[in-house]
Amino acid sequence: MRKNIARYVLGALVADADAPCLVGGAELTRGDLLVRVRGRIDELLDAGITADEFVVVLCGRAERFWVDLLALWVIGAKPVCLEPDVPDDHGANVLAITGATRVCSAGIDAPPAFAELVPIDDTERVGDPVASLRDLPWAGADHQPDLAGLIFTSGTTGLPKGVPLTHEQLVMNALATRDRLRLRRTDRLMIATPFRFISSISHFIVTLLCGAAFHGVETTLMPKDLMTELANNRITAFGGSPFHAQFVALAGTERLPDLRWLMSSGDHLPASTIDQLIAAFPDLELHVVYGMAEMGGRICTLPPGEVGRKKGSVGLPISGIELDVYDESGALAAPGEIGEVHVDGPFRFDGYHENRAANDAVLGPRGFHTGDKAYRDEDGYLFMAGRSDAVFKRSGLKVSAQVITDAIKDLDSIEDAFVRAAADQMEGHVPVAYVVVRGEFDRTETVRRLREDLATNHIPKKFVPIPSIPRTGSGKVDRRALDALIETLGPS
Amino acid sequence: MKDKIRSLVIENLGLEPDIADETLLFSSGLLDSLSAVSLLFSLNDDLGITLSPLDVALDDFDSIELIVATVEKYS
Repeated sequence: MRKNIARYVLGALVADADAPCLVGGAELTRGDLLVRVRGRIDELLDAGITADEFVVVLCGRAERFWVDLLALWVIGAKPVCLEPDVPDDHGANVLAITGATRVCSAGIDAPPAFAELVPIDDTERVGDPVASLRDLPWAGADHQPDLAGLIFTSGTTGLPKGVPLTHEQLVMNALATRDRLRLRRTDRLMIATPFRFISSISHFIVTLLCGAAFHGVETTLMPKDLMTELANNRITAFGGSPFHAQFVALAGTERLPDLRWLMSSGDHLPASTIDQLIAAFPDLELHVVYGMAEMGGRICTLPPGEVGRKKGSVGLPISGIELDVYDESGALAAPGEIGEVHVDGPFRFDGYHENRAANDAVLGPRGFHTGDKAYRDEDGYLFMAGRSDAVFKRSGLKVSAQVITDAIKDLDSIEDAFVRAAADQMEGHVPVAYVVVRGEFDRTETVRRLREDLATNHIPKKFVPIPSIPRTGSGKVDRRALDALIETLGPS
Repeated sequence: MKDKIRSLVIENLGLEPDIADETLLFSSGLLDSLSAVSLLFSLNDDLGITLSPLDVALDDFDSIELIVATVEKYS
């Protein structure tokens, strides 16, 4: 029988039905979640959902998202995980490449892009008790697909690309990650990221495999609200970005007396934040992780015992991942030399869904070209060093300088523009826009117009009007000349 | 001070210049909560104050009126 990630997750629930499973909202035991999944399976089958069918599953719906995911996996269907406010062009592309005709959207309004999809009713039906995995109507072996669904890239380099997740990939990655992260059955883990992210899905799976309880919040919380949520729900383990970690360090054990474990992923965790965390929580089990959807979840982890010795590193590859760093000439980079990270192995995806051009660009004999820059030290530990394109992280979320530049250039009031990342003490990096304006610069109007097209994290923190953007003969921005020009303007 | 804060909030968030002080910005869905986080840091930079992120909840920033009161209370 082929692997199915739901067998592993639901098997862990059957084994410990009375233990808390989802906390901080729905308050479901593991047994409660099982009967919810069982009831949902019946609803999906009543609706005529079949194995191999792509079904759009919107997040922003609390535990319903996880119930849908598990139920669809059991019957062999393929969830397509998306944000509730998916833009029209992205939504149209999703429908074109998947042929999906139905959507799990109960609890929210489906976006206009999915107006033609048939919503699947969700009455939160409670199914028959599940004492054994044999009680569930698993897809027959002849219909059991390898594909566990699609999630999408952030779209920072164009239209979001569909990353196929296979059951094999999810199972192998989750088991390897579980062994590294060492959550306890008594833990209550919280995340504060959209559920459609691979990091969230990985956290959910691994938490349930470990026998721990899970709490997810999808909206961006003000730091104070995040601390309140952690404290009120007696959270012992938190999975977040370095942006979140700095506030956890500020809060300390006085405000978060239950916290014993923290996992940082999504960006480089600065040494200063590590020092603050260790000072504020002397007994904290701090894990630093690097991962990508294309590898089914995690790629590297730095265990707590190494955090002090290898400060700033994301650690070593988990078992099953082959990782190398290549320099610009294509040769293996020497220790300490920055190059591009390539990853390979049985977790690796076989290519973006229905996107040959993107696949030709990122897959080759050396595996998957991640676009991430990094170096390895003499012991093989990986240290991240940004991206090979103009993509960076702001408050833990990916931002494309090119997308912002294009949006600004589309404004009638702007003649030319260039956007780049600037280091920021609180947000990691922020976009700064250098603009050549027609007439008087009106920041309020510029921000209002950009908000119509850009996500909040893409709105520049600072606009710097300049007389011209220096360019080379080929039309590229002459960064040295730009720096010199900015220097002449003095502090802004 | 109030006029300066109001002006900075409007400029940072791209709001209509005649927006009412009591208009709910975040709980109404007009803006997402990530905007509130960015606004907090921008006000610190632009006003030269040190409003601690651990002192400000989303409810404290839900209108220009509330933002002004919060900044005046903690700065």
